[in-house]
Amino acid sequence: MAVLSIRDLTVAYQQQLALADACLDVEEGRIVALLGPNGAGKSTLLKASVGLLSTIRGEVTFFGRKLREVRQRVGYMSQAAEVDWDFPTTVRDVVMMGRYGRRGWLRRPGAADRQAVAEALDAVGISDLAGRQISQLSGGQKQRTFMARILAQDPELFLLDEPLAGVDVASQDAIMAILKGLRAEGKTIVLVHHDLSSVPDLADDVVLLREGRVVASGPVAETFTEDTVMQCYGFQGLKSRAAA
Amino acid sequence: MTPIESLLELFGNFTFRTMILSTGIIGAVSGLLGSLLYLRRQTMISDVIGHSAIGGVALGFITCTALLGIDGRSVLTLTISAAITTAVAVLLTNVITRFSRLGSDAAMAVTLAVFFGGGLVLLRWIGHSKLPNRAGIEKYVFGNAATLTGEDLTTIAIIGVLAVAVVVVLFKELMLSAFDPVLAATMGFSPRILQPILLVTVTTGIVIGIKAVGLILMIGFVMLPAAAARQWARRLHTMTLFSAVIGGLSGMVGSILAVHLGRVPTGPIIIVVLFAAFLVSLLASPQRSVLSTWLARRRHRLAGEVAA
Repeated sequence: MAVLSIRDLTVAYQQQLALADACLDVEEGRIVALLGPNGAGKSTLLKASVGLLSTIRGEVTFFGRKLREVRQRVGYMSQAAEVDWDFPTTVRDVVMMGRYGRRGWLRRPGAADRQAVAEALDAVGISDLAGRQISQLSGGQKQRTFMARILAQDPELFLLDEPLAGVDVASQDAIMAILKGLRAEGKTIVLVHHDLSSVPDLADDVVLLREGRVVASGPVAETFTEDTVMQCYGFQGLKSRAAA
Repeated sequence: MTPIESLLELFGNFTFRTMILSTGIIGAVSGLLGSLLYLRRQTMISDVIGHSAIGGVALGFITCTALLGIDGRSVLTLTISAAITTAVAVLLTNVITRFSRLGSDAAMAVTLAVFFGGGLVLLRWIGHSKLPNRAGIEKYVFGNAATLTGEDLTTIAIIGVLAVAVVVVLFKELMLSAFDPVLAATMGFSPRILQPILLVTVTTGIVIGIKAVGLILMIGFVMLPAAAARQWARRLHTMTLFSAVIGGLSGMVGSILAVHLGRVPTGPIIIVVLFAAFLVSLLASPQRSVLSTWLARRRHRLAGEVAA
């Protein structure tokens, strides 16, 4: 059974189609990279699948069920740039937000949640930043904070929108190591990705999108070829891949 | 007579005591709600609430005196009618923003103008009518804390406590949806549940202040304590608390000043006090103020000179 199954998902912004009849099946324990140029529909695919956008048609199931039946098993991480980093809060408080879904309405986090937060901070290597104001974080530290938050959330399926955007080499290595560690635990990861050079190292499967359509999807060895990348990105993608 | 004695004497007087306690509660509640609106970048919505409340005041007065035959000037009737009208105004703003290509600033300007203008027309009509108790109804534009009754204070206190209770009980959910509404939604804290609760709490919590401090100054009560508190706080808990304390103290201090100066309206005096608190915070708070930034720059420069 597919962990995530998407059928004919179609989304429109104003008059323009952002996603057209996208179909996708994600198997358990894989790292799946969503690739494509800007505006191809990568983020839209993730957002629409967790119900953040209203869809025109299509069906999305997680573990064979509707999202609202399995919310705790699915974690979605938005782009770090989408929140206000001048908000008066600390790294520890942000990571604690990852536990809120498990507590549900009105119940406060307890000792077990504080323990999970401490472990998540440790896993991404930012325990020393726990008490820091989030306005004082660097780009890499912000992404690590978001990673710690979704680790504290502890889902089985991770949907990550550009977890490697705007990070330095050290943070990139740390986050990639975490993702591989999650896969080793049997977790499933779908991420929006931009750095083509790291795809073979990181991902098991790729999904190539262009102008809201899935142009190719499958295992890296078969699907991540010069032909498909060319078809997806045009000449530029080919050049950057050759450079890598 | 020492200042303490004169304060005690002031508190012994029923009218002044009612006034000071009311403005204190109003300041604290609007400061508390203001910190949430401030972080959602929605403080301007309190201007819509304040201005459109005048339509609610006028409609409520007409309904109570002409149709129901009760006094239309109590805080309770005014709060109910103003809360209903302002909730409609805020919903209208949301509808315009959602279904047209207007930005939320333009949508707020549209509803604010319509409800305020309509309210002024109705107030003028009331002034020329033969309805009983119509004298003084136009004073709600600036408010007059000296006209508050003991019953009004009870209404203000009860609604204030309810508003605080909602924020305390739902603090986790409100904080999450203010910082990251997307995460809140994916976790199942639906905006369809949170938004209406916040809307009702904010409109009711803000309109309890209109009889005491006036309609058009309510935005200052919401925005200034929050902006001042933001300068000092490191976490949302403390910011919310500071904002409520700054609002409450400024309300009381402003009332006392208004009594001492005599013949000055309470609302504007409190706004001046709030502005002073905001100014001090902006200039002198330890982390983000003009002074601390200047000191830090100076320190770096001196360190550079020593190194050279």
